Amino acid sequence: MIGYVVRRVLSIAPIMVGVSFLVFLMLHLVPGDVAEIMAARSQAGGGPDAVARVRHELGLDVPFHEQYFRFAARALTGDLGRSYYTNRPVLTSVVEMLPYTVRLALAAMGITVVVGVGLGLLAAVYHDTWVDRLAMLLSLGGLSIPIFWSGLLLILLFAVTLQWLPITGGTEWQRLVLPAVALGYDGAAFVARLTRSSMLEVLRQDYITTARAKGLRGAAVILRHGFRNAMLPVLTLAGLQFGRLLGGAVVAEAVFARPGVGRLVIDAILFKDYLLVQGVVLFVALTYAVINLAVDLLYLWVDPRIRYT
Amino acid sequence: MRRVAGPERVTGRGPGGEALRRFLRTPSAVLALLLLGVLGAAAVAAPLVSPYDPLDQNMADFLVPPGRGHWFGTDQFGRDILSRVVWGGRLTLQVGAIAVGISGVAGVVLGLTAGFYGRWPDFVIMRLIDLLLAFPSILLALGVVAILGGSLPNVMIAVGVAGVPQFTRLVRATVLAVRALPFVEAARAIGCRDRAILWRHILPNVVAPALVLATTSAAGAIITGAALSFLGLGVRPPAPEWGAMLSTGREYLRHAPWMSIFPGLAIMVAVIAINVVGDRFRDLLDPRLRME
Repeated sequence: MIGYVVRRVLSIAPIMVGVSFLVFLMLHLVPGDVAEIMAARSQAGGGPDAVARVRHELGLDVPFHEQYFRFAARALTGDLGRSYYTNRPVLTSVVEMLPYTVRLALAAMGITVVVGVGLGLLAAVYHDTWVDRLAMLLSLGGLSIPIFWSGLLLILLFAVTLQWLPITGGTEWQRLVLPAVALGYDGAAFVARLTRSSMLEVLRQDYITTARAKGLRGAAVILRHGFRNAMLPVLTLAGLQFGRLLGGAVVAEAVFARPGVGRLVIDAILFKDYLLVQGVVLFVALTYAVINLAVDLLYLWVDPRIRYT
Repeated sequence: MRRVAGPERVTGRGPGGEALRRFLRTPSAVLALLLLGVLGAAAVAAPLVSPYDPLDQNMADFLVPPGRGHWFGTDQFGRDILSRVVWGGRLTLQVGAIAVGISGVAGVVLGLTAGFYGRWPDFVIMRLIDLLLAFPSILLALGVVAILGGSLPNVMIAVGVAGVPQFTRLVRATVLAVRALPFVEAARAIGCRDRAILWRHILPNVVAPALVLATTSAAGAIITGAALSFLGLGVRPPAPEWGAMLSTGREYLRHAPWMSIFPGLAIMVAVIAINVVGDRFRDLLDPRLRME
């Protein structure tokens, strides 16, 4: 098993190299002269000297492969460059915004899992009744209502009409509730559908019949024998959902005017602050890879039958 | 993968006719298809059916609530929201359709190449796909927009690129399954060339699953495309795109909620309809589900 863990951990190395190369390539794919665009945005202005200086600082005056090695070497030490717009290190900006996004993502993940698993479980246990249909209707809603609309509706209902929550200001917790609900509901739909189908499959198994025949109460059968076995595929999906969540956070932060990594990248794109875009994209993609790895390894712990050799 | 003989063989209907008949037996799917038809027709016939010009400003009538004259109300420049929603369908639905077209064509070409030729083309293509999958899809779309800049065609490309991995993996898996079947071996035995086998025997088997994926991806493509416009990275105002309209509506949420309600409703109806049709479509074409 240790061999598997080591191999799995090492397996993300090529992905990381590939991801960093794609992100590095971004600067070269931008139409026009990046150095000119960035010099024009910097505080020094866009004169020929400034352009030459930016080109040199970006390392665009050395051979292509050398540029990549420099980029990767610097990224490994945590140096993602300096924004030409804000004149601050990219990593500092990302780290500053990270807590906001992490809080939002964790709160939303909690809602996704609780609501999704709850709805799916109810739908499976009350299969083919109105409970099932209502749960699936709610899940279809989650699949079909984009965050940027559900978010606006939530603001309209809870902040404008009922005034339970402030539109601006308030504590961090008050500001977190609505975005987390909008983002969490979006993911809950997938989890609910998968929990339902996975539970339905498990409830058909012989050992469930055995458990019932032994005289176990319904709840014990469903929770102890059914639920635990039905959760494996759901765990994988929840892990994959985390990527969706990171993406959704970009939109949620814009809807609710929340600070965060998503806002940072959108502003960076709007201002053509390429180094900042590069830094955030690299950071998020690497985080995503690590989360997927963590979910994979979590499997070992959750499912005792898995013994990778 | 012909269907097992059932009552439909007795009535003499082909598998396509049977699938259609089963589809029509599901009221929710028929309703969803009708709704899609209405939205599509309104988008195509926008100049004929929209009561006003979507860009016509009328400052005397700004922020008018829904009512007679303006069923969906007006925006901050007195533009008729109903007309803008109708015209917006053109842009939003177009982004969804063309983006899925891009992912589909690229995915089929890459998946066929990888699955059929195997060896190094397979290795190279699949490693590239693994790389694309290493990014959450909206991040990929954002990356493409960051490089190309925000505009209608670039949003289509961005959303399209983000969908390529799914199609490639599906098509490759289908090709791997189909090329092992006896009819492919038979075609090879009678001396068919690779190209003929690919076009005449393998491609037709890839079309159905790819179409199902296209339907289900269209919903996501519409949402992602509208999201990019909402973020200010896609279609720009004053163009009436649903996502862009919501972005403006957000600023007037307190005083003119209708500016946000109607474009959002349009997106939701379109996406629900596509999801319901896509689900039903998949149930009918997925043989494993058909057994139940």
